[in-house]
Amino acid sequence: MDLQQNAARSEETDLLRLQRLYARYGYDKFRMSKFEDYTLYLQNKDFLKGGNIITFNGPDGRLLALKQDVTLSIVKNARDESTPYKVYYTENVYRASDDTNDIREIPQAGVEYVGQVDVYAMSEVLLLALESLATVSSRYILGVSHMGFVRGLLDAAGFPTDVRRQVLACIQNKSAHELHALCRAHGIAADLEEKLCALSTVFGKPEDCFPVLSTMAVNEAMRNAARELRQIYDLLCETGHGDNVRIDFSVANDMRYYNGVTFQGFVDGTPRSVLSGGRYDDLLRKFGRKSGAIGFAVYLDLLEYGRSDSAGGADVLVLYDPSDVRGLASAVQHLQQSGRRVRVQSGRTDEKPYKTILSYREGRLFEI
Amino acid sequence: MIHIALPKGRLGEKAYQIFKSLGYGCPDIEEDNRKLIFENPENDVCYFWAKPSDVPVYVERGAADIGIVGKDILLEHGSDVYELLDLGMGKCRMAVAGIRGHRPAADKTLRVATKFPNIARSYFAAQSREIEIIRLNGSIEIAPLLGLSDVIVDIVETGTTLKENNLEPFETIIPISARLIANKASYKFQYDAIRTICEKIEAERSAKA
Repeated sequence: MDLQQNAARSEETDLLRLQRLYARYGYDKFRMSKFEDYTLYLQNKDFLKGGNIITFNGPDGRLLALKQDVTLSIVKNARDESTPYKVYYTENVYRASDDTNDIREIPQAGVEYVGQVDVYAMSEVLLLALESLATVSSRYILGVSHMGFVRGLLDAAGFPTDVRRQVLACIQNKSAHELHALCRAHGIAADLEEKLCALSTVFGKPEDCFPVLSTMAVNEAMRNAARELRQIYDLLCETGHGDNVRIDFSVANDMRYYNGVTFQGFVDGTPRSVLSGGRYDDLLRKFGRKSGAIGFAVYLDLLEYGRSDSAGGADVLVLYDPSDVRGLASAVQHLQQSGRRVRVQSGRTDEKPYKTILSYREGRLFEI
Repeated sequence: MIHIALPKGRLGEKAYQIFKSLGYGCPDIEEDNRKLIFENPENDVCYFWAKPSDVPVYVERGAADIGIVGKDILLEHGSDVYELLDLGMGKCRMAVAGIRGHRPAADKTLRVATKFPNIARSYFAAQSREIEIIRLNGSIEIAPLLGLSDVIVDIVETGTTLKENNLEPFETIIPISARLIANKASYKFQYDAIRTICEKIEAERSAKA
């Protein structure tokens, strides 16, 4: 029996596989402290994916926060250089729930690319996102959107700035009926209203959606975005990962930070997106950088949903009498060498299910 | 199989009748029994009843693929779900109401009794009005009558209860109706089944219109 096969998938093995994947593509590991300046989060609160920041005072009186996000710390340290900054991370982040105020430690892995972002760079990050999903599940979907396309349509419609957030929320929720109401309330032209509502419902394989996007495009920004999506998709298809990509504009991120392709990964059996990312050049601008950036995070805590309960434990339980342990260690090692997980304890058996229960007496193992 | 969360009460019963008329019937749910979950493998559906405010929780966390819920609950709890259709039933409105003819003065903090604190807070924040929320769980209409609050923010259907208690709606915050919601992951992995349900509902509504 193979111990690897027998052991159920766990957070640790997922993490290990993801690290190997990112290292294989030449990304460097980024390590950071558990603490970050509170002002970094405060100034970029809308970039953070929900949850309250956990703060405390440092020894010098500075207000610090338990690390809530990794991307901001990476971006803060990235410089405008001729060679791209390509890093991956596996870190725990800390968030307090909005509803219950429970404090949670959430394991995350992710990839960030800061530098000149071209079609290949974007495709590589999306490919890594797809391969990350394939690492943790055999059934997965990467929903892909483009903020340039969404922004182009919103610009054409001419919504007031304060309404754009509401419109974006309707697209994120696939609420065509709410979009109709908003368009009517703000006197948007009927053809643009139809296009906006259609945008919110788009979902499907890219080759089926691209013709729809072409008919929707009303300006150069939208045409460029559609072209970019197609170029990225073509490169993904070359690597054999095209089948799991879907065009889905509900994958829309905050327009103040994200400006290009955005994406979310879903695995069957997990109710929320387990991966989220996109191109966020506009965040770099906030830090005074000229470079572009694209990256994603994998939320490893959510993968527990799809995990079987049989993880952990042992295959064999060996019971022994403390007065008779001579030769026990080598007998246990012998069992382990056959690929089984062996738990050794004195006294009686417990409630856990074991495939085999053995008793060690007078130098030998007996089946019970 | 599509798992459907129905809100207990009239709205849920009406919603089930729609599903049934579209070919998603489930005989078990119509029987007088003590079951909690009702499955019909023939039609590939599984129903369960939930407290209306819990429906988005079941859907968001994937215990149900789709559900029926009032817009008031969605607005109040801000659930991360797809809101696919306005079913146009269970129509009512979220309103600010108070004692007839006694509109509170604008120069003092407004005491607002409600079971929808988030909706009330964002409505008055948009008006830059300073308020004090008094969170109640039921019989909201009593609050202004006993001097507990200046106004209430609550659902008004016909307005009869308000009228009979010398209360009146002052302002409408938002019209409310039942919505079909879906879990974001289920929508992707069960896309054909969920879209078919949506299209059938829309087709029936257009036929009726």
